[in-house]
Amino acid sequence: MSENPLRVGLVEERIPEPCTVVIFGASGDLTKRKLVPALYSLARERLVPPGLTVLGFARRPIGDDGFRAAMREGVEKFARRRPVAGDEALWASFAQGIFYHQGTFDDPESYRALAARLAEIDAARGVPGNRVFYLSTPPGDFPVILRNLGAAGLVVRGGAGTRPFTRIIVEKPFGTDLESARVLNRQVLEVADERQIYRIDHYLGKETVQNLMAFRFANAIFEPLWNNRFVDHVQITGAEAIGIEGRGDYFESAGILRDMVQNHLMQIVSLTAMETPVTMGANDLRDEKVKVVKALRVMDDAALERDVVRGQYTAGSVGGKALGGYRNEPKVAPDSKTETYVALKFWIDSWRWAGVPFYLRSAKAMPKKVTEVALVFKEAPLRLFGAAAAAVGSRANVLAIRIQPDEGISLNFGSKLPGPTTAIHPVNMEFRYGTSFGTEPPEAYERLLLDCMLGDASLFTRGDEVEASWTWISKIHQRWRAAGTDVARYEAGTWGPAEAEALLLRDGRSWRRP
Amino acid sequence: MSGADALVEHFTHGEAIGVDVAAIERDLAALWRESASGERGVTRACLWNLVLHARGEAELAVGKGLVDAIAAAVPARSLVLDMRAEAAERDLEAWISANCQVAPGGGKLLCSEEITIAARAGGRARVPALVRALLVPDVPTAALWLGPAPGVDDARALAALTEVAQRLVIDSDDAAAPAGGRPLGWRAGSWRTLLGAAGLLQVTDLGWLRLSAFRVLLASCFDPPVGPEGLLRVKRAAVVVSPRGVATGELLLGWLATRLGWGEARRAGPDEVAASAEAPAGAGAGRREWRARRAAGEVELGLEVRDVAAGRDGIWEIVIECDQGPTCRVVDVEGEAAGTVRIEMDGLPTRVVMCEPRPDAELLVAALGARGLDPLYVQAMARAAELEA
Ligand SMILES: NC(=O)c1ccc[n+]([C@@H]2O[C@H](COP(=O)([O-])OP(=O)(O)OC[C@H]3O[C@@H](n4cnc5c(N)ncnc54)[C@H](OP(=O)(O)O)[C@@H]3O)[C@@H](O)[C@H]2O)c1
Repeated sequence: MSENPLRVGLVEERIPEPCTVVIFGASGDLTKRKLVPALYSLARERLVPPGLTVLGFARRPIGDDGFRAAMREGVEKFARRRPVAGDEALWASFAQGIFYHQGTFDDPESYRALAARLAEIDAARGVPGNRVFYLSTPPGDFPVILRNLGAAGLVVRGGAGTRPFTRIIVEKPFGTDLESARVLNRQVLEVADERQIYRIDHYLGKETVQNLMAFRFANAIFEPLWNNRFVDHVQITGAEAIGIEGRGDYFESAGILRDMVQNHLMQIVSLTAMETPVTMGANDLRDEKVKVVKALRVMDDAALERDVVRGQYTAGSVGGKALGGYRNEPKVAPDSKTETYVALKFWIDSWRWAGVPFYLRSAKAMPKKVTEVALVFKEAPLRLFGAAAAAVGSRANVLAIRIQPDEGISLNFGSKLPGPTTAIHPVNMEFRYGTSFGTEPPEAYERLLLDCMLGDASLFTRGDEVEASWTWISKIHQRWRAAGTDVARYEAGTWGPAEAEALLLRDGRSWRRP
Repeated sequence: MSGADALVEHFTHGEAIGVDVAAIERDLAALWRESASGERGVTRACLWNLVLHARGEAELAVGKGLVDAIAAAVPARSLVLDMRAEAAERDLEAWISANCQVAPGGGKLLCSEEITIAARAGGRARVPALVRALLVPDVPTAALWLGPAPGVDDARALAALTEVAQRLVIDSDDAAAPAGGRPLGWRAGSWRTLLGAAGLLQVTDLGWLRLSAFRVLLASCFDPPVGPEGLLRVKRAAVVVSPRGVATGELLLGWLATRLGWGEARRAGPDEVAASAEAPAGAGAGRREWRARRAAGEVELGLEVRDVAAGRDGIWEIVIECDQGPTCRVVDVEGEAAGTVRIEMDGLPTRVVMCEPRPDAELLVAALGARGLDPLYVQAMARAAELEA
């Protein structure tokens, strides 16, 4: 008997085998805010095995107890399922499985000691050698950690069926351009197989991003409309209300195109535009996603000039609070050309999307935080109801999928107003995903950590996918560098520069007000 | 605010408005039309027709409470049937009300409708036809049987419900409510009646949904590193329950029997029950023992009722003992915060896990979702019926 017959039919039918999650950079922000709180919430909901063990690796000498105390604080502040009075026994049970290992990333001796420590902990906790190495460090440290893990014999090569398993989670950013992404992919593959690598894009862990697939592929009525026969154009918005919040040094070298578009919004483009996968298995799903990225029409100079708008916010106000201009942020050059706004018009050269423009915008310092995809359908072929019919609003049907906040789906259609005229009025049919009770959806990191422990890479980015998207994005960066032109300006708290409005107006369209 | 406006305001805030029984649908439509203020309109959504069957004030109150509590999660048209044998001046009366969520931007959204029909004495015979007329087309119908299992007098009512419904929602928890606190109590000892119903439509049991947490805990004992091999050699499976947990205990044993392929259970003879096993003392206390065949051996099944007040959902302790080990024991943690359970498993450190009770409304939402359709439940119930006294 290898299957557990008591698990059959349970929601928690799949539960990972006991394993140790080794977090590099464990004294950092991400571990405390996201990773350990996510593991705790999973433990509280009985979704991980009792043998689950966490071993933090970082430089400062805080010891097991210091690390546990810091994690307790993180869990109390940030976990979806926060410990309440009476959870003491549960926390104690969870904390028994938390350890800390002091070391430096570039010191091979640290890794030999780590191997010994892991063996010791495995024996004490009944963990059969399964390991997840989580690289939660600045990206510059990824190569040295990978090399040392390999050299210390800590990586057992092999796919999902291999036991004990070794899996490696790599945080973002995965490269800063095509060249660096290629180099990093090579470095990763020198120590492990692609099947062991889990490149995180936490957007894919969001319930509503997954719901995008469910919505498309579980409902027979929408998919037939999801193509160039019915869709006029697609709008994707990824807006943040905040500025760069003091992270000038990071943002100056990144810009919004790297920070949001290359990773998160590209995922949304792929999921919106992809063909139906053969199965929802990791490879079938990712094969279809890569095809979309490969089908993105490479922009020539004329297109780059015409169809890409970049902007930078100046002083303004958001949400009733004053926000200084980008160039006044600390560690930002006074003549910086880094974009905090980007709008693109692009094409996907596939049978499904030929002739359908995609408009994408992403920015900081917008009036509100919102991520959404909207399919704007073609108008009815004949205006039977005359001009008066559309006295209010647009005549086109819009299907909007809101990813955050207020997750949900809305469908806009026209309806006759009661009375002897033929006035048509737009009606909004809305479905809101976050219902008010029942179980709240899991945090993105919960889902992703659980999937990795289960060996399911569907919601992680594959190496070829990352390279394909960098291929396309790097072109834009090259053009910007070569042209040396300045960025357009927009006031913080507005929907972006006038040039971005013109991008759609030229085509007789306009941005949705999300 | 004009009289008509006030009426609409009350209507969309869940207050019951008396209507003409012969024209319920017409009056509802009129109120909706008026609530669609100006150009904004009201969007209604409907996932289910819910038909609630209540026999008295207490059941009615519980039923209405449940409908209100799930309105946001499950937009539905609810028909609350208040059925009483005693005669009254009017033998059929109706009220309508709606529960609206406010959409971002202010429009009314996702409104659930509630129609209450009070039938007295002879009026009851006219209810089924009313129900048939009031069901929203193209959405499924679930019948909620409030309170204890149907008696002889209820046979017609139950038949009328099973005729229109695709799903019957009950609660096998022993605390046959409302007195015991459970809204849909379906007394223990009714497994066979229920099996009959399950032949006609989907039966969903809140008691079964409550059990899922215990099923997870028991399953977790036999995950790696221990593994499931011991489950082939179970020597004894025993449940200790409080007086209200008898049906839940039977269902749990029924589930184990179906999952582990045990033969039909028979009551253990007096000579088979260990003499040392004294009958527990206290009100409602007692012990029942059965034997069942398993591959290469026999399993002892035990259900002990103790006079204990605590115990999550009436379950106090569950033990699965395998021949040559291991033994898995799930025990309610006494004295500490409610909802904590201790798991003791040979070869592993003792652990404490959360296992909080879920509110009935939340269970009802689950019952109306995908979890409400569970083939394992019918199998477990069939095996629980073997244990019925
Ligand atoms: N923070 C977030 O919300 C967030 C969100 C998405 C993605 N990310 C990504 O997640 C990763 C980690 O982010 P973070 O904010 O947690 O980083 P962080 O706060 O800067 O933490 C860096 C960690 O690395 C350790 N470290 C640095 N150099 C080391 C060395 N030579 N030897 C050993 N340890 C060393 C530090 O340990 P000591 O302090 O003990 O030296 C610290 O624990 C980054 O790749 C980031 O891009 C973060």
